[in-house]
Amino acid sequence: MKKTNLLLFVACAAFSLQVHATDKIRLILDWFVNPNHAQIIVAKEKGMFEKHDLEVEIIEPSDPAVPPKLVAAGKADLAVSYQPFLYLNIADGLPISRVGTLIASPLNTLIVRADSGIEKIADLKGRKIGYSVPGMDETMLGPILESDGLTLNDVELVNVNWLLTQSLISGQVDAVLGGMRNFELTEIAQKGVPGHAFYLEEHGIPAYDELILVANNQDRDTPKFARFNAALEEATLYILNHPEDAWNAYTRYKKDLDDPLNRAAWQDTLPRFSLTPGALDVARYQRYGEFLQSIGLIDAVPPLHNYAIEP
Amino acid sequence: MSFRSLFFGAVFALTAISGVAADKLTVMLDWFVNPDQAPLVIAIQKGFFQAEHLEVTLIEPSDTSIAPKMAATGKVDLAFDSQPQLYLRLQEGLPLMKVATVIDTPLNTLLLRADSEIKTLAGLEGKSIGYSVPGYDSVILSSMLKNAGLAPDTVKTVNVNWAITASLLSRKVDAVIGAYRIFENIELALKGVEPFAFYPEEHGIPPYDEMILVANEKLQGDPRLARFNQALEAATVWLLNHPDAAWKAFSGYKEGLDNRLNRLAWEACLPRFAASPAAVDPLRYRRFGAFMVGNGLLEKAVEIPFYHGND
Repeated sequence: MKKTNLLLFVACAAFSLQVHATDKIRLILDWFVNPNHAQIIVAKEKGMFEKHDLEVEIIEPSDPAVPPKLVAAGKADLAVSYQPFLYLNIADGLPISRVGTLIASPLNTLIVRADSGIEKIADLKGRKIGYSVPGMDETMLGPILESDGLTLNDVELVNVNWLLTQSLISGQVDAVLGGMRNFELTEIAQKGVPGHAFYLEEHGIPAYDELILVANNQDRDTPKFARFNAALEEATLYILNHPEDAWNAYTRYKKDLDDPLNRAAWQDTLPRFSLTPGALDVARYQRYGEFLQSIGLIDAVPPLHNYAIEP
Repeated sequence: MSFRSLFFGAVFALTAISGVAADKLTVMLDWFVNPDQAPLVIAIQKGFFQAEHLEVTLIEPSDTSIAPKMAATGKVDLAFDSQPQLYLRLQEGLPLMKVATVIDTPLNTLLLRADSEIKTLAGLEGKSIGYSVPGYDSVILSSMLKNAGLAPDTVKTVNVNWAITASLLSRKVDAVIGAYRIFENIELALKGVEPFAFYPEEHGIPPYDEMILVANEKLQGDPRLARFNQALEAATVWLLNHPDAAWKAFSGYKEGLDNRLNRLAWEACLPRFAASPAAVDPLRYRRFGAFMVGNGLLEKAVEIPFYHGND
C-alpha cells in the first residue's frame, strides 16, 4: 500500500467512525441455521450488513419458543419467529412487533406417508395425528379436519414433541402437523419413505407469513431495522441472481451445512423468500388474527399497528 | 331456526340462484400472455377468482404502454404496469393507484453475449448498447455506467426497438438494456448463444417491483379489489405448492403457450412471484422515487397511492 493510499484510508476510517456509527444487532434465530435463514447468512457473508453499517451477531436458540421472549426482555434486538405465534405472544403481554418478513408464505404442513392410503383430509378418520405444540397445534387441527367434514373426535392425537419424521417412519402416527414443506417432506423421502403433504392454506387456514422478524416495541421505529431489511432485500436478490455463489457463501458460514438435505431444502426454499422484507399486508395480518380469534386461540384481535409495522 | 333467519336464508338462496354472484373485472396485460403473468392465469384456470365471486377477463394490449392509460380512463378495471413507470404516469397526471404486486424484483438487465470479451461494466467503454425505451432506458444505463466510473458518452447507444435478442445474435450491438432476466436471456440461450447479464440493482439502481397491477384511484376502497387480491394470493401460493400442475393449467390457457421458451421462463419466474401480493413497503417506493428525482427522471417526488381495503 502506498503512503497516500494509507493516509486516505486512515482519513476515511476516521470519517466513517464519526459519521456512520455501526449499529450492532443481536439476532436470535428460531432454530439451528437452515436454508430458511439463507438471506441472513448471505447478507452476513457477502457484506450486505456491513454495507448498511450493521454488525450482526447471529445466535442459534436452545428452544424455538425462547427467541421472542429474549427480545421482549431486551436480551436480543431481533428474533426470527412465526406470524401465528406473534398473536399468542402479544396476548401473553410480550412487548414485541413484527418489523420484517423472511418467508411470506406458509411452510407448515400436515404430512402423511405416501403409502398410507390417505389421499384427502377425510381419510384421516380413525387415524393417529402427531403434534408438537400443545394448545396451538390441537386447535389448528380443528378447522383443517372440518374443511373435509371431520372433527377432532374423529382422530387420535399424539404428542410427538418434534420427532416428526421419526414418528412417521416408525409408524407411531399416520400423520404429523408441524413439518415444513421445504424440509421434513424431503427428509423423510431421503430416508426412503416418500411423503405427501397437505398444505394448511389449502385446507381451511388463511395464508400467513411463516417466518418473520420481531423487535422490542421500545425500539421498533429505529432506522437500523429499515437498514436491516434493505440488506436482506439485497441478499435475496443476490441469491436469486447468483444461486451457486449464494449457496457457496451459505455453506461456508459454518460446518455441516453442505449435505443432501440442506441442498434440497435450499432449492425448495428459493421461491419462498420474501423479496421485499419490509412489506406488510395489513389485510393478511388482520384476517389471520380474526381467524385465531374465531377458533378461540386469542380473545381479541389487537389493533394492527400495536404489533406489526413497516419500518 | 327462527322465522327471521329462515327469511334471510330464503333471500340468500334466491339471489344465489338468480346468479348475482360474480362481479366482473377486466385486466389489461402489458404484453401477450406469458409466464410473468402466471398468477392471474392460474387464478382463472383453477377457479380462485370464481371462489371470490369474480369473473375476471384478461385482455392482451395492442401496444405495451397502453394498459395503464386504459385503466386511467376507466376502459379497463386493472392494468399491468411497472413501479418505475407508475411514477412517470402519476407525474403526467394519470389518476392511478397501486393495487398489487405480481413480481417484486427487478427483471430488467443489461444483457450481453457471454462470448464477448466484456466482463465488467467498465469494459463497455467505446462499445455500442441497444435500448428500446428512450429516456428511461438511457437513465438506467447511464446510472449503471456512472456507478462503474464511466461517463455516459463513452458508449454509443442504438435504438433497437425491442429487437433485443436479434441485435445481440447479429452482433449489431455489444449489449442491450431492457432485456428481461426471465425471457431474452433464455431466448438467447435457446438460439445457441450463452447469455451474460449485469443486474441494475447490483450497480446502483435501488430494488423495485417489475410487475404490478394498477387501477383508477376512484376504485380506492372498492371491496372487489380486496377479493381480487385474495384470489391472487391464493393462486400464487397454490402455484408455488404445485408447480407442475400449475404449469399444465397455465400452458392450457390458450394455444401456443406450451413451448420450450415459456417452460424455461416459467421456471425462472417461480422464485420471483410475490407470495403476498397486497403487501406494501412504503420505504421501498420512496427510495426508488428519490432515485428517479436524483437522476432527472422525475421533476419532484411523487407520492404513490396504494389501494387499501376496508381496514
